[in-house]
Amino acid sequence: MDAYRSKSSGERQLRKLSIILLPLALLATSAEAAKAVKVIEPLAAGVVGGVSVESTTVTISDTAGPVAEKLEAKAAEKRAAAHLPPVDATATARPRPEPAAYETLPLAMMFPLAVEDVTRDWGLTSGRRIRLAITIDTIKTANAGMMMLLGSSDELAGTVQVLDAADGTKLGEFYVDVLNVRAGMLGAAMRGSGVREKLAAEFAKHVAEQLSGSKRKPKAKQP
Amino acid sequence: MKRRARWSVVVLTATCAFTPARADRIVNYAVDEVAAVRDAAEQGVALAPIPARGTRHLAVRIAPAVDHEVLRVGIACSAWKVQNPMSALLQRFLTALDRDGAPASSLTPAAGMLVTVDRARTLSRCVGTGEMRTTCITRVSIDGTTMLHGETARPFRVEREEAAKGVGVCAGLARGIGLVSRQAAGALVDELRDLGRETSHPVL
Repeated sequence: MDAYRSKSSGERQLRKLSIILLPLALLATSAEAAKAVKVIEPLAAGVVGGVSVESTTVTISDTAGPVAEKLEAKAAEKRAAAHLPPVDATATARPRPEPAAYETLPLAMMFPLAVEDVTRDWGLTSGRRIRLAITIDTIKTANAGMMMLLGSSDELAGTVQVLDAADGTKLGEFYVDVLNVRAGMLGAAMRGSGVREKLAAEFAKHVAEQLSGSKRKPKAKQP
Repeated sequence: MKRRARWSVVVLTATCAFTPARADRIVNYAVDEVAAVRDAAEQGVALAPIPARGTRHLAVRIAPAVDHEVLRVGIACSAWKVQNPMSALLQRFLTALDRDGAPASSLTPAAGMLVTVDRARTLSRCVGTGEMRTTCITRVSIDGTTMLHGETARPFRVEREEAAKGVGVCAGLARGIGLVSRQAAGALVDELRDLGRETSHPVL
């Protein structure tokens, strides 16, 4: 009994020690990894807060290719389930899809729409005309099994080049990394559905923050 | 036993807490060509050849800003801090290109072209591509000017971007950066040769 008591008190002490020291160890890990945006080339003078986003192009790099293909297949399945016609990527003029239909579109088609929605919402519609060239390096969705056991993450990361719409001059570049770690039942519940679209919207929000120079969306003007 | 376990936790935690959060690496340009060929094959990157000797004498100036710290973005390999001493690489390439194998430091009647390298930059984006595998996309840019006798300086900018497969998780990061930097140096040499042809001044 004494031996048992002594062992359990030792364990308790160890546990206490771990609780005190673990945060120290966590603090020592790289804090930079947590940054969602990293500036590669600062935006040219006069760009921040005074731009109109004319267009956005999205390129999916080879590193993101395999996962992106799986997500494209899922989007096509959703499109078929919704009885929508297959997407014609070569069509030059097509009606703008409703946000509800974004989940049925390929990433390279859905992402520019998400960026357009967010940048308009942030009032980035007047000033120097710019276009955005986004290259996606990473797209990854959480593993459901791992999420329940240990935690898993959804991630969308890539570079954003800000170009002058008129002559293509590079005005700046930054890297956006949206990383959402989810764990357990609560994490799964919070994650919900439409993960790809949520990642795109969050990515677009970081783009809008960089272009507007503010962390807060401007309040809508009263009519 | 209890004491030993307690001390293990203390030592382990202290090690974690006081180990530098970022691991320092320096791109090694002193590797021989055999090792460079092997590295290029491992990383799936084309190896830029050491330039063939040119026909004219060059003057070369390399600014201190050419040696730089790599800008690392992304979560993968974010604990790695890499120094890219590109002056050594550029000196090697431009020396190989020089007729005499010893570039001058300023324009002289003998040296037909002054190459000034003002700065170099490296961007590295690493992505986990599977179990214990990482691909790092490296972009290297070199900025500077060239000047021929009696002419004004002409700015140049060369840039190369390439994905290197890496070896293990992040172990090949610095070698991959070195290989892409070498491609950028090769692109600079090509640009200098083109300039020689364009200006009907066969300096190289």
